Amino acid sequence: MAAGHTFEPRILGFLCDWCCYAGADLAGVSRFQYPPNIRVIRLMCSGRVDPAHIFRAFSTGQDAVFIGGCHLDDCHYVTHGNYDALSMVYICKKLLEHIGLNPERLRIEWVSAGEGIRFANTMNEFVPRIEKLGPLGRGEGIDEHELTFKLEAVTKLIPYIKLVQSERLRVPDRTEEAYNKFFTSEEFNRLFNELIGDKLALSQIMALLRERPHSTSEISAILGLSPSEVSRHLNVSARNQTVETGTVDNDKIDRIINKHQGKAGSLVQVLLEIQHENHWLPQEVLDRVSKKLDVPLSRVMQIVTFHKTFSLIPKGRNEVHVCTGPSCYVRGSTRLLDTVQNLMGIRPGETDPDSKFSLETGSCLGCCNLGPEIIVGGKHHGRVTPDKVKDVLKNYE
Amino acid sequence: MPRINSASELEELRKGVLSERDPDKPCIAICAGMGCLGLGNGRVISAFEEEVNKKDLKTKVDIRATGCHGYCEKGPMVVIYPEEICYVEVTPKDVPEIVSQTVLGKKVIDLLIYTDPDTGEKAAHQSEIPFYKNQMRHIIGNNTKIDPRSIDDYLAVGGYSALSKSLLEMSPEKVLDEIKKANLRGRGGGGFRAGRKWETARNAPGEEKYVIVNAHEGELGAFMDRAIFTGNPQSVLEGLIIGAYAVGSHRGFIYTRHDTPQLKNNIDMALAQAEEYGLLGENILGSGFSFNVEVHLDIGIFVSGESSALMRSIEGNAPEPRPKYIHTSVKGIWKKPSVLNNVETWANVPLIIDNGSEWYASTGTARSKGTKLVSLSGNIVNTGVAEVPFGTTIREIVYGIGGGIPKGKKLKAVHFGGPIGGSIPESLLDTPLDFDELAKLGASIGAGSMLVLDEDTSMVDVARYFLDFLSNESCGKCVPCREGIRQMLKILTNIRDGKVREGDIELLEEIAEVTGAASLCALGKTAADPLRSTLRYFRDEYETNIEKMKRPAEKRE
Amino acid sequence: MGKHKKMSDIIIQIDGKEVKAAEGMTVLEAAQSADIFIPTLCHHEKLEPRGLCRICTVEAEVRGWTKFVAACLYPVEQDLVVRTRSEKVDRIRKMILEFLLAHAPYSPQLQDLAQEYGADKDRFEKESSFCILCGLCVRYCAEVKKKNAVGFVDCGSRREIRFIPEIAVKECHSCKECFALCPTSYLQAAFVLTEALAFSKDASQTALKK
Repeated sequence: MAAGHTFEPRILGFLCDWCCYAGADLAGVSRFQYPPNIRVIRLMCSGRVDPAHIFRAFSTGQDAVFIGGCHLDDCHYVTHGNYDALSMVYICKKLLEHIGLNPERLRIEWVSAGEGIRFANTMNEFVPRIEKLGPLGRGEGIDEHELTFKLEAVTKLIPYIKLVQSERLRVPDRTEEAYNKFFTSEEFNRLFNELIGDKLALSQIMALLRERPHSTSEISAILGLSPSEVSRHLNVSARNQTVETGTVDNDKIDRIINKHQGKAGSLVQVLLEIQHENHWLPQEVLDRVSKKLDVPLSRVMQIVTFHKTFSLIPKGRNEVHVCTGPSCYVRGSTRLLDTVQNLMGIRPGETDPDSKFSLETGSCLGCCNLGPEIIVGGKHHGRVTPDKVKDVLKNYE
Repeated sequence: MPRINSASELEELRKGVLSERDPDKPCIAICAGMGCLGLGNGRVISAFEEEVNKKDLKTKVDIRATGCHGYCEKGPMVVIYPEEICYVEVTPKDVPEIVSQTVLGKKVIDLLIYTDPDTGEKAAHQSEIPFYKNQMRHIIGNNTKIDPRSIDDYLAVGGYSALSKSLLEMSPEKVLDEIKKANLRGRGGGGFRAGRKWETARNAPGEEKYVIVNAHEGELGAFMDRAIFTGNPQSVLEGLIIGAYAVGSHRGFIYTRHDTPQLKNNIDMALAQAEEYGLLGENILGSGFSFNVEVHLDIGIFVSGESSALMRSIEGNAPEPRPKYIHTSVKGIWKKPSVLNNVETWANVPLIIDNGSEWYASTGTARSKGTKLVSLSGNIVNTGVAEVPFGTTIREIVYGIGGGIPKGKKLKAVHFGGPIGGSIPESLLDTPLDFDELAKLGASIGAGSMLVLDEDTSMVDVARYFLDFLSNESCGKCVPCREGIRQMLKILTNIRDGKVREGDIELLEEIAEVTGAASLCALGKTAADPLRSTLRYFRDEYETNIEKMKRPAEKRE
Repeated sequence: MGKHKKMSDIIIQIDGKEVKAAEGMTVLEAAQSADIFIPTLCHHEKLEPRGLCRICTVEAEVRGWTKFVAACLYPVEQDLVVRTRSEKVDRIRKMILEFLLAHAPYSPQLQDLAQEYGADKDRFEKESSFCILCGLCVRYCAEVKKKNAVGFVDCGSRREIRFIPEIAVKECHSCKECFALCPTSYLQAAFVLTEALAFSKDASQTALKK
């Protein structure tokens, strides 16, 4: 809250012509007082409001958005657009939450044409509430710059989110009860997080990196993600070919390609050798291999994502491998892995922010007499119990 | 190295090699297999080299870093020839004593020899140690005598006589006939008759044919292929060339693991040396038969052990299987007839040619001939690689060779075949090791890995573990496998976590049926086998009150 | 397969009906030529059959042995007896549909088939990904358009389709022919996602600081 001067919230309202707009009109005609902070846009149905509108409003200085429509089941259109508005609002609220903004800034109400007083009461409640929350962003402790890129991240994803919503987040029954039940359910949370939440994190990371290079720790701090999560997202980004994280000497690559006679059939062997020498495969390398061997990039991408043998992001200085083959498993590899994960703060497939350790699990190198074992940079540490893990790892820089 | 151009030149060379080797000269054979190296055997080898140098014994004592001896549990292993005195768990500080007492003084050091944990009985010679005594080491026996980086060592034990006999005394048809008569069955998991596969490829239309060594060894808990191939690569190569001759192939592939540099180096060296001697390449042994081999590395995924996926990988694509309505022995790599066999299968070939199919078929059971290498792991006293004739009972292997279960626990089951195999319960432990007997019980022998499970193991978790593995290691392109595994895994995880619902077991069975019938490849079709076998023999664990079943398959200390 | 090319037709039996087929035909092609319906999801006349969805599974009996095969790939042979419907075939198809409905319950193609086989879209818990991995998009772009703008990545349960940004940004806006083939809207979703995350900038601009 800014001290010393009053904050006047700017609120944008989308009101449907048939009901809510008429209701607002009636409030005006009847002289029911309410604060003047809301600017109204009239449209034919609340269902017309698109997430893009909502986030454009937030991006252009509005502190809150209000949507007013007909009561549920009273929509003047056969399509019951107000239900669409309702589900859209549930999703947008979750999006706001995910980027650290208070979801109360978005509100949907059902107001009929004759409910002038209801409209006024709603505004008399809403505006002070937003006053209390403070300006968008600043009220939640987010500075302007951060707010901009977060909103940008969401906006970019809207076409995707809309498709996800229509295909995956549909509610089977058009009843208020069913909608409320679904959007507060465990299932919705899970689907949202898996389909949208992760992509949102990615989108934010992209937005950050578009401005200037950031290190893993910086990203972690700004977005409030653990280093483990950041590592996981960067891995996904690399597979999406959206993050450039380094280069490799072209001569080196060409040498390897020529060694295998530059044939398309040697694609797998070429990639394996580069991975072995360089410990990871930058996008540039994949492009070059694709061109030189004359194979479609999609085929290269399929192979390098086919198994964890290939890495598309740089590995840590020490590659730690915990065997999770069946013999090691029955001898306690899960507890061993838990200990290692806790010590390093990362999960399999990830690299710590200092690039000291990369962790991977995998099966059976055939040294079952050593189980359970940890292999660091090719060196076997056999018959390791959880209490010995610290000793094993402390010798590595 | 001289190029050998005839059978007599080969024998001359062999005689020459043997003449330079005094059978009474002391030889320190140190196991340089992966298991022993992981226990620090590299330091033991250096210590011996240092000690021998120090005592000025370089010309009087041989040091040989050999292939896997098999007794991984007791590594680092050292065998002193010619007495065959076997020392276990050797450390660098034991080395000076070994050299002075045993190598020079011919005395046995009591503290270093094997002691039976139950009876306290000691055994100084390898042939007296129970682990070795109860085996029939036709294939792996030579590992203790060979440095895999020396082709001469292989020649010294009679290597390449089978190749010479095949190329120079037998026709390809005769060779094929011998293999058929011997009833050599695939050792990689299929158990398919090798002779029949070779014949199909031989008769398939087309001039260009390929033979392939499947050295991928993706089966979890199997490490015998690595033991043979790293320890005695020439034996496998010899088998491959004989097979190529029988099939009519002039080009071969070795498909091996990318994550085992020692294996790749030994293979490369073996190929180079064989070529130098004229045992590989153009006009082998002056026979007119030419054959060349390429080495390809895998990308590590389990599905690439499937034959059609493997072939796709050799072609330069992601290893995805294709339906085998037309066998790969008719249309394989680049649509040419391709014979794929496992490392162990190829290693059996020289034995058959050298000793004859009748000799070979005299070992084993009615329909499973010869010996089988098994790798023992899990809750067992003696982890390692063993070789037994088919027909040996599982009990004999687990107790007679494996030494039983550690910590005095009871045996619950022995799991064969890894993620696509099955479990044999304690009550069926007297089943003989046999392709068909085990298959009947729902636990196909697979590549020979024997995962021993004790009484504290949850069989539900075992099934879950393998499905979890497969969910990341199948290619995922067909619905019944990808989705079937996904759903079965979910249900099993819920059961393990105590959230079983009415009808879950029936649902699991239904999914298993669909996945088994409609999947595209063998991986999908057998993905539900561990589940099916645990349901068959341990159904009560699924049905029982979940509260009592909180311990997962892995140990809680 | 025959040892030499026969010029004469092969006679097979489908659902008790005698059908003439030429060597090299698949069971599906033979059935279609005789107006016998076998359901498909990943099949398209312009594309190489791949047998990914397995919904065309039929019973094939040859020399007394019955096995379950994908009709779109299984080659016809003399005296082959095919049954396109049976208790087990129907069970298989029902479950395949239920697997896929857990991903995409609103796909029109799936819903039509679901009705026929009594598949319950709520049998399995909802999966987040709504791609059914039929591969029509990938194969169309590879075989017909020859652009390879979209491909498969990852494997096993995590298998997905993904656009290759540098190709998609050049080729897709004026094409999008694959969109019509997609039985769900996942292809579109994947495209707009790639657009959002990967198109609008030069890769070098999103450098990760060391």
